Formats: sequence, structure tokens, C-alpha cells
Amino acid sequence: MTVRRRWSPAGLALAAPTAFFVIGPLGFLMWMGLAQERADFLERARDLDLLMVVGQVALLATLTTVWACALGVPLAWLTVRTDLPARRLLHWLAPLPLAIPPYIGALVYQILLAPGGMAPRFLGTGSLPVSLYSVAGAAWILGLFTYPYPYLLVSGALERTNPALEEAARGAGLSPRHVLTRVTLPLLRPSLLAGALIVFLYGWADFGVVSLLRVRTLTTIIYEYVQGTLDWALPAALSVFLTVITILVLLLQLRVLGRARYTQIVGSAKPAPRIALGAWRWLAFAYAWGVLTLTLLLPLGVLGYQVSRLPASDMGAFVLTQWPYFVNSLWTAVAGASLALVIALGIGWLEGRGLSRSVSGLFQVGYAIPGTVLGLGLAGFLHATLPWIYATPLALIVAYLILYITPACQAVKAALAQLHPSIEEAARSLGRGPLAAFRAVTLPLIKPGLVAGWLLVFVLSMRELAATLIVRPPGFDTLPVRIWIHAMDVGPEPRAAALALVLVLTIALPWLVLLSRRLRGISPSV
Amino acid sequence: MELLTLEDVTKRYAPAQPPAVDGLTLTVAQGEILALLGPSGCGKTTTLRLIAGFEAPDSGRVVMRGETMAGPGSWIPPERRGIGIVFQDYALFPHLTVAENVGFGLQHLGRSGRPPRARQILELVGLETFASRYPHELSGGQQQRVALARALAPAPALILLDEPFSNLDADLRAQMREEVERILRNTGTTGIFVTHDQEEAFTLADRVGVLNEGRLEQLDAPETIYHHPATLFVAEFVGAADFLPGLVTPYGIVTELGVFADTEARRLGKKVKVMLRPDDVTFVPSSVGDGTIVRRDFRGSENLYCIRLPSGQRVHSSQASATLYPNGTRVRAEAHVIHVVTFPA
Amino acid sequence: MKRTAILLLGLGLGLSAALPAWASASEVIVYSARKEELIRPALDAFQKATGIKVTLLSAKAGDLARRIEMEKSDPKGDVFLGTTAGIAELLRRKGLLAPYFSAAAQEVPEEFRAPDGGWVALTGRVRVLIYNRTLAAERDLPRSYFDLTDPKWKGKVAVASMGERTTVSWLAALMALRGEEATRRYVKGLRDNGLKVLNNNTEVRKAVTRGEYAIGITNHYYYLLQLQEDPHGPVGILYPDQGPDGIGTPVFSITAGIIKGAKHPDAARGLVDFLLGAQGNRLLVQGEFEIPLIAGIPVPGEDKGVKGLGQFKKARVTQVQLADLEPRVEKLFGPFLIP
Repeated sequence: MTVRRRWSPAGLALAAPTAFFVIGPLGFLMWMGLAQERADFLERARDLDLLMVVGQVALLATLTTVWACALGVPLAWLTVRTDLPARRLLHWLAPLPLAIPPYIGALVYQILLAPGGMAPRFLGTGSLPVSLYSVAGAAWILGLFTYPYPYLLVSGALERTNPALEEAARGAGLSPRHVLTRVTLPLLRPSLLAGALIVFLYGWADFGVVSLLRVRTLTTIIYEYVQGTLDWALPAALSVFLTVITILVLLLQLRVLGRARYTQIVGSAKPAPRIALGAWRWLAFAYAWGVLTLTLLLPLGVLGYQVSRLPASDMGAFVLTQWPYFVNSLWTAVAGASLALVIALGIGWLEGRGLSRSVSGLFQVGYAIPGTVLGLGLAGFLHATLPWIYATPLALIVAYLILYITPACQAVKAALAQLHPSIEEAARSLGRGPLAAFRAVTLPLIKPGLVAGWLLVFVLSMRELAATLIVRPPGFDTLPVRIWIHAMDVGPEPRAAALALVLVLTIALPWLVLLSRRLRGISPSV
Repeated sequence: MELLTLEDVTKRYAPAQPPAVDGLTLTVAQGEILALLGPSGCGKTTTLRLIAGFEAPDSGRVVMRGETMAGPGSWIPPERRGIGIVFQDYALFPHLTVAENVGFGLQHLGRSGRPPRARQILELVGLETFASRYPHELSGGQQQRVALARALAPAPALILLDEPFSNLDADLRAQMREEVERILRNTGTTGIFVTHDQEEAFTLADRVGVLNEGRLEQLDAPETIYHHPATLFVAEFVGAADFLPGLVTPYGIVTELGVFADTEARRLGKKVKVMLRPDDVTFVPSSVGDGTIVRRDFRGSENLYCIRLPSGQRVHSSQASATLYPNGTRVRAEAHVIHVVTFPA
Repeated sequence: MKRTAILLLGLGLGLSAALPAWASASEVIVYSARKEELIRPALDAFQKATGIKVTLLSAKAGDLARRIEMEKSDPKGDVFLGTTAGIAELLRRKGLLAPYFSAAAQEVPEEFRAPDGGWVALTGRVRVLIYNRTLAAERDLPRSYFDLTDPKWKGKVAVASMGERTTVSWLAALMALRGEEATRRYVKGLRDNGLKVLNNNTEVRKAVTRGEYAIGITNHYYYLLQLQEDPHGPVGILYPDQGPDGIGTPVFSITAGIIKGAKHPDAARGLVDFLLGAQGNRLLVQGEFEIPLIAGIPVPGEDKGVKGLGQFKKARVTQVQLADLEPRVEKLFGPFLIP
């Protein structure tokens, strides 16, 4: 169909609630923040060293990005383009650390590296020379557990790169090393940038890791004021401040990605030849397994060991008492993922017809808001406007939707982009109406992409912590909340580890499904 | 009997741009095969999409069997127009078998009525043994046939083919062209196809419409299009042509290659261009000839010579494959024009 | 769009059918700032004795108070359990707590009760110093909070962040007894001396025991929790400012208040009665390692050096005085009390 109108009634029907739920919480915070006197705010900003804190967050996000790329990009190249031993297994395992939420990674490394932890005890010292409780420590953790983002995007791009381009470069007299630096890497730039920016935004908005590792960031400051005081104005004002900077970062991201996208290379007849590593093979092998050890094997081992420290019967009884929380997590995440997918499908369908332009753009804002800020704004906003949702599990689902519709949209759009419009037109010409054609042809064809999108939102919702802490109703804790409460009340001890293990395994299971189907090409998002 | 009429149809994609289809008027008769020919961007695919109902005209009407499909205040969506379409990329449904693809448009027949009809159509295109295959298991020609069968299955009155042979190898293309024509004629289906290949248009179509910048330059039988192009654009686009300057005199049109009869009774003293096809021009080698061979293109079944005349004007002449003259040969060129076609200079 | 709408509707209906009924009659919803495991035995006993289901929302006091304030037109919680009197008193002044004079509350010393019955203290906690016995020799130990600015302790003292209300109450106590100016100077002195702010008191007790810091400013029961976890850990407890010119050691309290407009007022009163009664209060005291405010209940950890009310010099400051000063503390020192 042609673009006859910019907005259809259906488009508006989708856009209006979207705007309502995304802009509402921010509007609420802005309104609350207005109560904050300017002079007072400036004084507190000075006392809080706010500029230093912003610099520190930027440093943290940058270090995280560099570290995640340093882990993920060489690994992607090694598994896709070289004769690395066991590269298939590695390629399959490499994205799995995404199943471990970074705050659980922080718990694990606290158990391992914190003063009095396993490693210092093993070495017979009180503490290690480098402290985990620092910006570097937080970046270390965040990078370890976000490297799959650049890995997935870069390995996907490497698989799609047209080998003819590299052959042309060889033909032009470039050595293999120069082909890598002057052709292959520049071609990867868009995916690399996309992956790097996902990680950057993650580091920028993180709450769990920095809080556990006592790094002062805007999110932890907001959290402290939310937790410790009755004050609305200051945390609201700080939230608005944080949101504004985040949206600026997001706009920068859109700008950079928008400009870089045209270089994306798609479609190649044959896979590119693998590069023989020769003597470097085993060094590369050690590197790859080193990455996986730090990000997957070690964390699982530590959690498993912690669990084994308690008698099995005690642990069993404990896990059973936590069963309702598991169910809470499960069904809200399932509902969130399903709703997100339905809405994303609606958006994809309408946007494919030019009927609703900026709905997904709006959600992008929701996706960039740190969970702490969203939670604070959403709680107040829902209470003011939709009291029947406030303090019910629906509030959690709304939070998941606001935060994670963007990845669902990306999955749907990626799937739709692979379909030529003529497929649907063929169905139309054979007597099916628009919806019938969508159901008979488009839906079955994009199903793999939809499954991937659903799993992505499910996984992200399962592990959401910051917003859930603030909007959960009484008696309705989720697994991440329980882990948090245990970790904060008692520390990173066996029972927190047991819950963390349950969560990781629950998340890993769908991930395994996702990966075993080898559904790639969807940018997994924060 | 006319099946389809476009009345002054205009379509613009963006207000700032020139229209993709500009005041198009044409009529297609029942059982006719019509080719829409033109360079890329001429609006031929848009015309097809307007007929199919994938685009709505900004003004004008699309009428089929007297019923307005699209026009001021009326709109029939594509699924209710009963028009079959063969897409350039075939657009076969990859998740359905060949039989299911062909049966896709046969919902009205019900679960039991579909397979016999699908089988019948598959026999027509010679693919009855491939019924349970999936599209990706077929060759390009087979996919094309499935696409045709799928479009024909609901027995549409009109079938639209968008560059139907452009994805096929040269020899397969000729074969499929014949086959498509046979099937359309046998089923009595009216067909409109879009192409940029004049040979394809000429061999397959009863009439050819030449489009340029959204406007219909000429709509005629292939022979008329070739020999009596209505416009300079048609003359240039269809087949090779040289244009020889001439002057209208009482004795005819005087040119460097002689005098041509002025069949169109032009005003005396008017400067014109006479169209010369390469097969209109012959030459004999002659030491006193004032033409020079400057280039020879070997075309397999013929040689195409380029001859420079004293004025610097070049004309082309097609000669038998075996006649070989080196470049620089002095020749005397002659033109034997049966249909003199001139354009204002 | 119709299909999507139907799908949405179906999902919505499915969800609402799946929601548990959270307003059953025999339920009491507790907004608790207290560590869940420590109060669990007492709450379980209540549930068992009365058949009333206790639903907990465990969060930090500020978060809970903000919820109570927001929900005042339609309260979702019934009972508020605070870790100090401060937030409860703030809520009371905003008219968010319903007065309740439990008969059992008469046993509690008057300074641990709101005058209008808006809140009542259940148990007490003493703001002590804990120290690492291998890092700090007995004779070197500070005698007063004010000794902690001594360069001797540079970088060796840890305290929990503002998220722990007891930190705020502690500074409020100092401000009440020594005035704002002196407290400002004192906090600046601590900061200059490298005071380390950790996430919470649990981190403080662990870090001190591990030897990361020599001294922790925390509540007395963390000393007992540490010994429970690690009976031979090198951790000691001391009551500062006990000398004749010392201000004494402040005592804070777990406070319970009934939220105004609570959906289950009877169950809420029943719970408060139970927690102040002999059985409930004993369980609470034992579970939390707190000191009893009611006569006749034994002090947990007496054998390990923990002192009950009246066995040490208590700072002369009432819970209401503390509550008065806490907002000022937040404003002045909040930015420094964040990790």
C-alpha cells in the first residue's frame, strides 16, 4: 500500500498509549523535580561532586566498552574467520554469558576476589593488590558480561561480509594483514559501533554492578536518596538530569549508527575462506577459552560451589520457599515478552505501511532510561493516572514493556526486512486481504525472528532488577529482587548464590534454544 | 471487447517529484497480450502496480469490465480485483510446497476442491511431478512456471507480469517466452507485461506501449512501433536508428544519401531528420565512394558497419555475417527506405 | 488491528485471572524496612497463632515511606516497620499513621513511644563501635565517637550509607547533643580522616572482621550476627562515650506504626499487640539480636558483652528529638553518606 496518510487510526491507537507510558513517567519526575529549589540543588550537586560523578560514569562506560570489545571482537574474528580449534563449540558458547546478569557476575567476583574472598584466602593474603571495589573493577565485571553484544553483532557481520571485497583487496596487492586492517575491519565498523554503543549505554545506566561494587554513579545516588529519605524533589531532579544526558547519548548513538548503516554488507554466495593461524592457533585457543572461563565457566563453578557448601536438604528446602518468587518472575516475564512482541508486531506492521512513524522512536527513549529512574517515575505516574495498575504485577509488566519493546521491535523489523514486499503483494493478488495475507504468509515466514525477539525480551525481563525493586507490589518479589535482598542483607553467600544459579539456568535455557536454532542477526539489546 | 481501461491516470510518489505516471490512457482488449516497454524509471512498473491495486492513482480512473477499480471516491483492494500477478522475483511462498503455492489463491474451492485444480494447472505448466517440492528446490525456470501457475490458478481475467524473464538465462528466456505465450493463448487469458527488452516485447505482445517519463509515447502493433515510431524517443529506444538531416523540397526530402519521398507532405523548406534503420542502409566498396568504414561490430548473425559520410555524419549498416571489410575502406553508401519516417530537426 | 486488539484483550483477561487475590480478609500487609530473615520467626509465629497471613514488602525505609505517602488516598499496606523512629515520626507528622494505644505498649518506656500513639518501638538497637581485635589493641581503642577523627584511625573507619537509617539517626543524635556546628566539624573531620562509606551495615561488619577496616560505626546486633556467622572471628564491641563527660551511646528502635486507612486495621493492631506481647517480643528480640525494651525479656548476647537497657550510659536523646533532626542530617550530610 502506498503512503496515503502519515497516521492511521490504528497507528494513533498504538502511538497514544506508547507516548502515555514512555513520556508519563518522565513527565512525572519532571513535575516532582520542579519542587527542587535551584540553589539548593546546586549546593547538593556540589556536595555530591556531581560533575566528578558524571565524569566517573563516562569513564566507567568507556572502560566497559573498550574491555567488552577487546574480549568480543577478536573472539568473533577467531571463531568465524580462522581455523581455531573447536571454533563451532566456541561460537555456540560465546554468547551464553548474556544469561548471567552483570549484577550476578559482580556477586560471583565478590565471592572470588573481594577481601576475604576465595582467591585472597587461597593466596594467603587478606586482599588483592587491585581492588574490585573501584571503577576499574566495575568496568571489569560489566565488560565480562556484556562482551556478547559486540561479539554477536561483529560475528554476524563477519559471516555476512562479501568475500569478494577481500579478494579484490588481495588482487590490488594488499597483504593479508593489510586486508584485515584496511578492508575487513573498516567493513565491520557499523556493527562494531552498534555493539560498542549498546555496551556503552549499558555501562552508563547500570545500577546493580556499581551498587554492589560501591562505585558512585548517578543511579546509585538516586537509589540512595530513594532508599534512605522521604525526599522526592532531589531524586526526581537527579533523575531528570540523568535522563537528559542519557537521551543525548542515545541521540548520538542514532546519529552514528544512522550514518554508518549504509556500509552494511549483506549477501554473499560463498563463505569467506578461513585464515590458517599456524603456530598462533593454540595461543588463540587459550585466549578464547580464557574468555569463556572468566565469563561462563568460572561464574557457574563459583555459584555451584557456593550452593554445594550448604547441606543439600537445607538448600532444597530454601529453594522451595523461593518457588513463588520464581513463578512471579516467570509469568511476568512471559506476559511481558508476549505483549512486547504483539505490540512490536503491530508497530512493525504499521511502520511497514508508513502508518505510524515515530512509535518505535519513542520506545527507544524508554529503552535508554535507566531502570532506577523508570521505576521511580513509573510508580508515581501509575499511581496518579492508573491506580488500578499501580502496585499490581501489571506495573512490572508495564515496566518491562517500556524498557524492552525496543529489542522486540528490532527483532520484528529485522525479520520483516528480510521479506520482500512482493511476497505479501502476491498473497493480496491471490485474494487475501491485508490481515489474511499477513497471517498466511508474513507471520509464518518471520516466525524465527519473532521467537528470537520473544526470548530476548523474556530473558531481559527475567533479570530486570532496578525498576522492579521500586514498582513491585507487596508480597510480589521476583527472583532478582530476592537475590538482591539476600545479597544486601547477608552478603554474597550460599543462598544468594543458589537463587542466582536458579536465575541463570532459567535464563540460559531459552538462550540455549535460541542459540541452537542459530537465530542470528538480531541485535540483542540491553 | 475491452477488458481494462486506464483513463488519464496520474500517480505521484512525492509532491516535489515529477509524476511516476502522467496522464496515462490506454485500453486493453479481452484476450490481448500487451507489453509495456520503456527504460527503467519510465513508470511501467508503477502502471502495473496501479492496475493491480498496490498503488492508488492521484487522479484518473482504472476501469475493468466496466467496473471502476480505482478512481475518485472508489477503491477496490487488490484481493478483490481478480488479477493474477507474476512478480519479477516470483515471490513464491518459501514455506509452502509447489502445490500449496499454486492452491493459495483457490480458497473458494475449499479443502477438497483445491488439489485437483492445482494439479490441472501444474500439468499445464509441465510441473505435475514437482507438486510436493519446495520453491528453493526448483531451478529458476521451474520457479517461474510455478509463479505463472499460481497466478493462473484462480483463472483471472487479467494477468500482470513484471519483467517476467529478466532473472533467466538467455536460452531459457526464449523458451519460457514461447511457453508463456502458449499458456496465455490456450487459456485465453489477457496479459500485460512489463519489460525493458524490445525483443521480448515484440515477440510476445500483440501491442506494445512505449512509456517515457510516465507518459505513453506510442501504443501500437510491434511492426508499427518499429517502422513508424511516433516520436523521436520511440525511434531511438526501439531498435538502432540514425537520423540523417534533410531538407523538404518539391522533389522530396534531400539528404546526403539521396532524395526520399516525402510521404508526409511537409512544409517546403523545413529541416527534418530522416530515420535510417541499419537494415535500410547498404554500401558497396568503391575507390571513389565518399563514405569511410570507421568501425565494424561483429554480431554473430550479422556485421554492423559504421560509415562516416563526408559531412561527418555517421550511419550504420547491417550486413551479412560473412562480408568483411577492413576499417578505412572507401564505400558508397545507399539508403533504401520503404517507410520514410521523419522528425522535425 | 482487530486481531491484535483481541489478542491484547485476551492476554489482559488471562493476566487478571492469574493475579492472586491480594486483599483477602485474613491478611496483614507489612511494609518492613527490617531484614526479612531476622523478623521472620516472630511473623511466622503470629501467622501460626492467628491464621492471619503476613505479606511482606521488604525495602529500605525511605522507599517504603515514599510509597505510604503516595498511597495515602488508597493505602496498600497495613503496618510500617521502621529501623529507627525517625521515618515513622516523619510519617506521623504528615498524618499518615493511625494512632493506636496498644495495652502492651504501656510496658515500653515512654521515650520510645509517639505521644499520640502513632508509632511504638518494639525493640532497641545500640549505636556501638565494632573493631577488629587483631588490628586494634584493647588499650588503643577509641573511647568516644569523637576519637575517630584522630589520625591514628586514618582510613581505618567504616560506616554504612544513608540508605541505612541508623546512620542518619546516629548523626542526628550527635547533633542533638553537641549542636549542628560541632557535628559539621566532626563529619568533616571524619571525611578528612578517610571515613569509608559502605553500602550497608552488613558490609561494615564483614569488612571490619576481615580486617579491611579497624573500626566500624554500626549497631550492636551486627556484632552478634557476625559472631553467629563466624564464631571465632576477631571482632569486638565497644560502647563509646561512656565516660563522665561522654554523651553516652544512642539507642534507636525498631518502630511499628499502623498505616492510616489500612485495609486490615484489626489484623494490623493484632500484629502490633503480638509483637509487643511476651511471646512475640521475645521472638523478635532473639531473632534480631536486639535489646528488649520490655522488662523480663533476656538480652541476647549478654555473655558476649552486649549490654541491656540500663547497663550502659545511654545518650540522653529521645526518639522524637532524633526524628526532628534527621531531615537536617540528610540535607547536610547526605551527599557524604553515599558510597
